[in-house]
Amino acid sequence: MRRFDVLQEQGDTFLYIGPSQSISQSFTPHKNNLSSIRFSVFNHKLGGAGQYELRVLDESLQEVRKEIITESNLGWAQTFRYDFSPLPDSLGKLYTFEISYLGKNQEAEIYLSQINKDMLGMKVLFTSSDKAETYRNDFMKISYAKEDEYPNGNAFINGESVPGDLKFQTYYSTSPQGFLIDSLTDFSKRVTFDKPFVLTFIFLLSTLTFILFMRLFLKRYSSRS
Amino acid sequence: MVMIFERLRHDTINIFLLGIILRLVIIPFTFNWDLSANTKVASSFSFSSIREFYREPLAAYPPLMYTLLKSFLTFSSPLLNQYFNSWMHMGDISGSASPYIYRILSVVKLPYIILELLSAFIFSKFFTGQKARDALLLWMVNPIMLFLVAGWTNVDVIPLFALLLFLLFKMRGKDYLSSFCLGLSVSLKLFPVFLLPFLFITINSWKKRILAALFILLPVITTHLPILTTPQYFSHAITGGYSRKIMFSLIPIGDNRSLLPFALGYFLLFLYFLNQKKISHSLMAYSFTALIPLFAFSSFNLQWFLWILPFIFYYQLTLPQLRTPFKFLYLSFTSLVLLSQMSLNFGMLSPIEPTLLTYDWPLKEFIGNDNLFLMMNILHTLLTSSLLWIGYGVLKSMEKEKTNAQI
Repeated sequence: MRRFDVLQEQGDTFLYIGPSQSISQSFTPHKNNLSSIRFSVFNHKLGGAGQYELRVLDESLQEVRKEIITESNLGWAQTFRYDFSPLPDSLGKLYTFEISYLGKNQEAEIYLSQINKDMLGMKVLFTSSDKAETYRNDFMKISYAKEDEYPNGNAFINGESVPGDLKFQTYYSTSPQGFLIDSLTDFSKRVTFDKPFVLTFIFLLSTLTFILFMRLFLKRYSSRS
Repeated sequence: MVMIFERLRHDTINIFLLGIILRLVIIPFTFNWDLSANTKVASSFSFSSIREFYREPLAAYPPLMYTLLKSFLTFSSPLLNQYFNSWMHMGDISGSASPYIYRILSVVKLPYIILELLSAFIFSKFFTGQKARDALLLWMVNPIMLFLVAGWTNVDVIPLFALLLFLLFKMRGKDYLSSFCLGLSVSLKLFPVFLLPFLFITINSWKKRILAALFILLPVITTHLPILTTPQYFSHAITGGYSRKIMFSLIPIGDNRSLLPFALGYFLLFLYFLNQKKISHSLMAYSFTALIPLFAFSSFNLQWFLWILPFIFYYQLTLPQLRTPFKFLYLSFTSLVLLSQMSLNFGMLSPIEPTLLTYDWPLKEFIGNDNLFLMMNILHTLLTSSLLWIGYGVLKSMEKEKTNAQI
């Protein structure tokens, strides 16, 4: 079973992935057995044949997992789920996942690099033209946050660090028992975190239950309305 | 045990206490994305920029609804801490994983629960004596009601409250007050419009009808004035996807012409009631049966079931001979909920385990799309059959009452 681990769900812009445009994000799992990365995809060419490569790299940027997907695997406004065999000792290590387009088109490369810079609010040479519009509709885009929302990792375009973070989630694999234990441990931590609320809630609930109990079980407290 | 139950059902305070306890247990631990979407949208509502507001595709309710939702937030704000604002900007899974989710859910859901409890109280006023307490108990412990309001945080509880007031005032012969409440309900959501014709056929003079119409239009027009020239509002709220769902089912009859089963059922019922003498005695029967075609002939959103639920309770109490179709109705609806995507059933427990929200539709993987939808179609057909049978039973009992009265 897969359970959530790292979450970065903010996204206020998009980045395009086209020829020679690889986008990557580093992250640090809190658990062993990292086994899934999910990110928000907008694919204009539903059922298309264009190919994208997904790679997971370790701390020394060595490839540890790789998958090639086509546009026909991708939907419009979809959370794409890249599941892979678990990485057993992932806890606390820095990983990077990278998405790149498999194909060449020099003109598209120039346009998309300008469009991506524009999306990040950087200075650009040009962004609007019929050609730019064509390329916007030719390649997949992914959701991205311009601000640094995830402190334990960075985003990169073609290996160059850029401000902000990709919108992504990571998951780890565990047994059903492990899922239950992690789930309950995590729940007990979160549910007791906001102490003023917890105390008020327990007080209110126990008082009402006590009053009802008294009214139901002790005859002298019960009344008929 | 029997004695304890008897003490419970004979005491209004005990019933309310039990209802409040059940709701308190549910509200911090259940989350539906409708709540976060409605809260986020409502928090940005303002009359000064209302045209801009309705450009947001998620803004699908009339302005009065957002005015109330925003005032709920204002009312709740002293109990929410500074984390509420950052929670509103989180994604659904991060939001569910937040340690403040329990406080936020409890506080944000509170106004809905208060309105639901008031609705239950009004509903109990449709009856007298022990029957009123039984009605209250049925409402308070009904799992579907608990699921739809305490769990789902269905905004429809707000127009439902106004609708129940309409029914109560109408039962008590207060035509204008009931008209105003119906107008309020329509100003909040469109569905109560189906009950409008009844009001007019029960009023016996044109002067009174015109006055009643004015009382209905007063809240509707007043609350819609700022957006009468906003096309986005009409495309989202009036003619949007959800409204069109009702019109989806068609029976083709020739060149570009079809019958709408939902409208056919509704018109037939209207004609039936139009020909009834002493029509004012059939208020509940009309209100209930007028909604049946909508649920029978459209793939309604599960949360809409709240509209019809008080009428189901009413007839569960008054027509015990229909016990079996009621059981089938509950069974089919519950099964439809369980077979739906995870976010509409176990996924609502995401404050306990946020991963539950990410399981899209696990049953599809096990039994395949075709089998799943076949099962859902069978269940919807069972729901339709049960509803039609109950509707028939309601009309038959109405006829019987009339015959007895004539004898």
